[in-house]
Amino acid sequence: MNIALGIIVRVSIALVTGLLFAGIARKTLARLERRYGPPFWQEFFDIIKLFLKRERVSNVFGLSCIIFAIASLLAASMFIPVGNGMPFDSPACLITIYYLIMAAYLAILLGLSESNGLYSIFSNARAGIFIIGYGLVFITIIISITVRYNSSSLIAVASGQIGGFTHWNIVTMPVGFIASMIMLHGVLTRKPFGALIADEVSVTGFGSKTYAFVRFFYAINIYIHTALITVLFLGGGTGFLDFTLKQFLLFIVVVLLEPVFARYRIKRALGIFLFMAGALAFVQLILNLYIL
Amino acid sequence: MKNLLIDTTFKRVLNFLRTRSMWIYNGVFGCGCAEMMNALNNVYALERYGIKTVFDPAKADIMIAGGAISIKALPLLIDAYESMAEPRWVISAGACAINGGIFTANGCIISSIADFIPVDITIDGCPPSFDVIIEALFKLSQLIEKGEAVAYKRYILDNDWYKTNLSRVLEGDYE
Repeated sequence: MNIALGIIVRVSIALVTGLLFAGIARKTLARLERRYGPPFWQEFFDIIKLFLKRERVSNVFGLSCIIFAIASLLAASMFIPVGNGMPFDSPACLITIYYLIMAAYLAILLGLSESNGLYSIFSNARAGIFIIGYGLVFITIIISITVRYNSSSLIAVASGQIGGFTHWNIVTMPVGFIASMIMLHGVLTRKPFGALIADEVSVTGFGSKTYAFVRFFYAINIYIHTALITVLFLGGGTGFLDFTLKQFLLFIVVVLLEPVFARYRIKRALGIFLFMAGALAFVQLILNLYIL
Repeated sequence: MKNLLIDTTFKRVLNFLRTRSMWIYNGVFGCGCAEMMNALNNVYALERYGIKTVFDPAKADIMIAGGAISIKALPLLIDAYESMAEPRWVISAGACAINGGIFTANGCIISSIADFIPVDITIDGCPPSFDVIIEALFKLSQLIEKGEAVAYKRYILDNDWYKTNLSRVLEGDYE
């Protein structure tokens, strides 16, 4: 019973936090561009509205792939220790989380490929290349963390950073942190990597409810990646509020940096993502292997 | 017939939620488009009311159909309307969309958009100014909340009439 309750609470937190963060990002960006912007709860109304509309296109395979992707991401979020707790006892293996996140990405790619939209195939091809690059960067960061702690368990990583700010990986592994921040920019489809996953283009040809599910996917995506980097580099958190505050700080840094950059063209964006984030992650791996 | 057209109390609660997020598909042709863009720009910040433009009619709630609509463009506009998911609303903007405007005598321009798709609100003007378009959006929002903006149901009930009008136009037999 407690496990079921914990899972329900965790799913609700992931959905609400993700949607709230997405709304705050819209409002913040609007204010930075001297626009008034939508209220930060606008994402909730948008999702509710999309679910209330009658589905025009019935694409069962595409929809089921997208739901699988959401379920996969939510399953991955169960393995991240938020504050002190997880819904169930688990070593929270990083490889399991990596596997679930990549499964989610491949599933949503497969689902969006079922779209009837004219341009979605181009968008999905770009997204496919980006996901391979993202997987490479992410696994390099995971291996460098694993080398440092001799364990792929997130619990071990979080407990290894207890003892104050100087023990956090942001101080001890700054190169890896910069690599993971570039990865965060890319995976949240923020500028300069905004063109890599064109979410609005990918969903052309789908109906409203499918689009609502895709919006859910992006919201959980925000939650899970900020949560992961919080545990990996910012020492996790002692409680829920502490943890969410760190997540929010990470996310708002990404949002505030967005207007600084232009939206790079696809080839350039991919090149910078792979060679900067990938090279920095690799440097951190070499440092962890031979120096630290 | 009346029961089919009027929203129930439960649906009115849902309508309140719908009015908080209204996405517009711009189906305005010709010179009306300039004022339309003016109304939806960031100076008036309609995004704070949840109103924004989308470029895929499948995600849109409201279509603003206006300007001088040629017979060649009409099937595209109707395709866009049919690909909008229900509930869907239409604002017809400008004199040309109401009765042909200054193009009344032109055989290439349709005389009234209301003959082909059900219209909820009509705005006159040549072209209608931006403040009237914004006012019409708020008026439509009020109508949706009250459950009175149900013209889209007529498209299913009177579908034969709309389709007959369309086929008459495409075959050249239209006043």
